[in-house]
Amino acid sequence: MIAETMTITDTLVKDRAIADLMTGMDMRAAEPPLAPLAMPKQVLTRRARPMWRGLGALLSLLRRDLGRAG
Amino acid sequence: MTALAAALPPGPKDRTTRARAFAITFSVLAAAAAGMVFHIYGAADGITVVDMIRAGLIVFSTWWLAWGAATAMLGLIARQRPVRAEVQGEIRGRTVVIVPVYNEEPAVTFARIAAMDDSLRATGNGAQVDFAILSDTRDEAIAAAERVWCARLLARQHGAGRIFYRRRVQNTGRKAGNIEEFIVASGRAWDYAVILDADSLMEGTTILTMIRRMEADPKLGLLQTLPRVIGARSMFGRAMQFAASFHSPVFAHGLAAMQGRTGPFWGHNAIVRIRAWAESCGLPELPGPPPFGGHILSHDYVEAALLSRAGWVVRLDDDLDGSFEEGPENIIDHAKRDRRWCQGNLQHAKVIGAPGLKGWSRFVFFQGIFAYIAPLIWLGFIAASVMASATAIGPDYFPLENWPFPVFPYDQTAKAVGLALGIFGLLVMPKLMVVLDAVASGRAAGFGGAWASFRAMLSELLLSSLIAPILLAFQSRSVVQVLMGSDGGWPPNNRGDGGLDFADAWAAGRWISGWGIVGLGVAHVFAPELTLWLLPVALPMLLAPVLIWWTSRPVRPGRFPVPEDRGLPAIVAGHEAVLAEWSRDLAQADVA
Repeated sequence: MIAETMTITDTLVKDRAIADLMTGMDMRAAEPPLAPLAMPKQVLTRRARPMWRGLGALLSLLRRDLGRAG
Repeated sequence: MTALAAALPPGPKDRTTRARAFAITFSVLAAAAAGMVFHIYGAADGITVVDMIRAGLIVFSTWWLAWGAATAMLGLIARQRPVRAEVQGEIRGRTVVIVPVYNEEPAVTFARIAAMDDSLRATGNGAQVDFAILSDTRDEAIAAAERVWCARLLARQHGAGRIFYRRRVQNTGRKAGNIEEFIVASGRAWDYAVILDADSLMEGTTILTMIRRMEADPKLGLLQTLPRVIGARSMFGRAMQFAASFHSPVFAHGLAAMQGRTGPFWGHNAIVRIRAWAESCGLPELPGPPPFGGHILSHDYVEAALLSRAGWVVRLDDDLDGSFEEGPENIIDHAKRDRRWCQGNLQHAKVIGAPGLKGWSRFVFFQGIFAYIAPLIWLGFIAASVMASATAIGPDYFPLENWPFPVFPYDQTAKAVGLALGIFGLLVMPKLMVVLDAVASGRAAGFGGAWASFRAMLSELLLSSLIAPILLAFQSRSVVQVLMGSDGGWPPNNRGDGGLDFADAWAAGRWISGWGIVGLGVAHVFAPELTLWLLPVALPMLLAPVLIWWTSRPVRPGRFPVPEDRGLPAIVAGHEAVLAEWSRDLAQADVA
């Protein structure tokens, strides 16, 4: 597919009209207008409930202490 | 049918509730009946753990089949739907048609934009409809070609200020990230965005109708069309095109009835209200590494769920014509796309519990996950059946002490045959009903008449049954890969005629042949009485490379007739005309 596309491109730039267009054209001019719109990230994961958070904290403390002991 | 149709009242909310209740009741009852019959049949020689596992597996797989059948039935009975409201007169909103591209062939893709722009202008409507090509192309050669063809497109369409092109430096978040970056940078310039794929085509009148429907309902956040598959040439592609053209409208109609205002988004050939999209659809990265963490792959389902969560209506308007896409031309391309969908759907396991989602959205995620678990359930059932047969103890004809006469076990053949017929019926019945409906409604005429439709349906049924074990093998491998933590990445889509060399087919399918030989060998050694029953699954697996190669060959169009054979839709003809025009110009440039 890439080879085929390159052939097409090579052939196309032989077309004076297109070659002129290409040399005279700044592609930045074709970029979409700047009109910012906020798109906040959505929440998709639940925060653990307090009991589970407490258990998690306890486990991480234990792991740290075990690490020290090791 | 009439009784069921009467059970569906015209009120949209009631209609949706009743449709859902019908589908759930039908599928659960069918699953329960299958489970009970199997339990009785399996318990005839004493119940074992394997029998209980098999009964459980048959319940789940029957439920899945019955769910499909229920969707088709709903599609056939929920016909009397009010015409969608549309504003008449001048369109006020500004619309941008977004075309994300990723290593696509630029000439073919940009010719589609030229054709759609021509089609819009031919309507004579002065509505502002711009185009934005959003390139995520990583290949520099293709990116250079994109710039050349963009210049060509702008020159042909006099598109400066109406047709835009930008290429991202990094393709963060893949297609969803591409669109998000565009909305964040430029979203305020438009009110609506028609989201397309690189291979999508839409008639100008269809785009305008979609905008009118958005303007008529300020709560409508997303409107999805049912795209028709076009341009298939191979046996596999034409069969899929026929199925999409003949069966899908009925299934989509059932789906629309069931989903109601919590409809689907399939990632393309849809229009969104940009404000709703920006407010609701900013996708975060999921915690953890891929395949379950990271960027959301099947983003479309999540975006539909998030729009619904925010109170926007998401609707499938299956009555809209003039919306087209292309499909994979061979089993390998289908399997590649399916690998991506598999990972994306299984990733929804992390999203299904997201706070505030509507119950139906969660159920849709569940269905998406189940679609990929179902092949493993069938495989599990086959394996358990071989095990049950291998470990079965023969009947005891003299179970009673001091009783000289034999006691014969009850004959359970009728139950076994009934169960097999029931499951086969769930598979075939929806397609048969669609044929009958097409003949009765006159729709079959577009497919060459009643007999041609029936013949094509049988051919498609035969072909899909033949390749089902191969697709099952690919799907099962995908699920295992994802569960083992393998990330499939984001391979670009292959377009073109899709013809495969036998060497490619052999490389892609030999492992399936290997598993087929192993499976058949194990069954022959441990459960020889099942060998014959397993042949419909094992033989296509053994012949996988041949079938993959054979189905990628061109086929006579009459084998799977579609309405497009009798006359190309205007937009498809327009696309071909632009491509022909550009090819002529190239030839002249070459001569010069």
